[in-house]
Amino acid sequence: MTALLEVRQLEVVYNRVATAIQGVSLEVPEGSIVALVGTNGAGKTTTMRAISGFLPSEDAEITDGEITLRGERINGRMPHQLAKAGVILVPERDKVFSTLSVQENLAFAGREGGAITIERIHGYFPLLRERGTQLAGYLSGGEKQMLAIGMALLCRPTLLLIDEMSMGLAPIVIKDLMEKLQQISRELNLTVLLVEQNAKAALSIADHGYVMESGRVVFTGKAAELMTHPDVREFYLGGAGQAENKSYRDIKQYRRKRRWWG
Amino acid sequence: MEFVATVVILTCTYALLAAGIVILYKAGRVVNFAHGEIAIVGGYVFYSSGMMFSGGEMSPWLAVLGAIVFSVIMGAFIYATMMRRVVGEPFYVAILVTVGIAIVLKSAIIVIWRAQHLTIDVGIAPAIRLAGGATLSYMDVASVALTIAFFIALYLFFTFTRLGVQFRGTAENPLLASQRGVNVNLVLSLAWIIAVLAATLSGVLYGGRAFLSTESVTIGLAGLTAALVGGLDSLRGAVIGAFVVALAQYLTVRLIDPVLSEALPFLILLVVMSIRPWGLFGTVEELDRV
Repeated sequence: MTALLEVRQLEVVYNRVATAIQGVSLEVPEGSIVALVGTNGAGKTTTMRAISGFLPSEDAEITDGEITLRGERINGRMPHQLAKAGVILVPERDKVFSTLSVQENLAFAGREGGAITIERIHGYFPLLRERGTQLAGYLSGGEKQMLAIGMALLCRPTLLLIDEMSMGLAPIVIKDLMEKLQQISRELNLTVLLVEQNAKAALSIADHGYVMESGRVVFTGKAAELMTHPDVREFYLGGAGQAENKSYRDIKQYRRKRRWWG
Repeated sequence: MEFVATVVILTCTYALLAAGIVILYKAGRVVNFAHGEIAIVGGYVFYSSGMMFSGGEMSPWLAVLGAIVFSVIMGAFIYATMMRRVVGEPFYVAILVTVGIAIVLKSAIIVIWRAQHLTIDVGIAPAIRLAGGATLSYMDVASVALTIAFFIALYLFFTFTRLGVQFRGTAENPLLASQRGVNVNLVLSLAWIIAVLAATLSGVLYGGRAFLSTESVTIGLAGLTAALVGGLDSLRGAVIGAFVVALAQYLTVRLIDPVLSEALPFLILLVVMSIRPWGLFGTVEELDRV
């Protein structure tokens, strides 16, 4: 499988002084789902924002490294240029236009003549048809996420970037959304880069996974292997029973550094 | 009837100004303090374009063409050369830029038109007589019709066209709009073009009823007051606010003292800001950002 997206030795600096990520490299093969997992502040969202061209709006810039889409360098392109190239982001917050109706949100993005139509989006998410005239601001968290994914699909993505899809959602809703995303990816041969704190949910549908910590990729492998890896299980998937009643900071930081950076 | 005619035309003048101010605020969070100047310069351009090749008699078609060309060029120019650079900066930076634009445009009136007092007469004005001895020129009727057409067109544009929906979405969340493939710069340029077009129409209305001069730019403050009375982010509020200001000005001229009518918008502004700072139809959150 060839890589659709390649990130090589990426370094991002905020406000010209604070290095958020350093030496980050990852590959997203065509038609696959890749999960980028890690704790708060690990640099996942910064990586995502670098890929989608959002860094300048936060006074951040890529100071080293390269991002390529199908071999073409896309560093420093504007978000609307990247969107036209097929790199579509579903952000963590403010993912829908809350003052527009559901139907208007879908029409906002829908381009004429594509294989993915609003009808097809309604097929994946029937609730969006029922809520068509409702303002998006009044939708529940799960419905907003469905709408955001629907909007993103209507932009005819080559690469779909989803930031923290599970944030604030009930486990049952997360499971449904993850399964739906997997189904959509398979049916449309859609490449997805999924950034998640909820490693278990993300790795359960991913083909490949990357673990980030303090601005670096510290672990990588097939999702199924990561799911069974003792460290990943212990740190991100609810533990193997060793960490009970102990602070994460007390134990994990030392072990993580020793094992993964050492 | 004279009362009705005057208030309606004054309402149209202020509503157009207020609509432009609201559109710019909604689209880019810019409070435009140069709107009065833009309107009056638009009026002068309308007059000069109409008189350009016609040997002393105004050609309405040339005047309209000149006004439209002026609006498109001026709107796009202001955004591309100035306002684009202040996107993302604190709100007062954009306000200061608009104050600078106001100064430049006022100077342009003095340099280009020698600050002469002009009344726009398109030469198609046999008066319509209304009950009670009031008269309306065809230009008045056309102006009111154009204002109504402008607001209906805005409503249809924002509600039923994809570009209009993209415009509303961009006003709410430019970053997301950008990521959905919308060229935000194009949308914001369009906002400036529509706003300048509305202001120019307003300047023509004002120049037809009264006169154009460097002092006439104070209509911008009446427009701003109308926008703030209605709520800075509401087009419906802009019309209601314009009516409130127009009615109050008319009653002041008739019942109290004409001299006070110039100061009245400030008084209304003070009262509204004290009692209901978010206006009649504005949203509290929106005003918090100003």
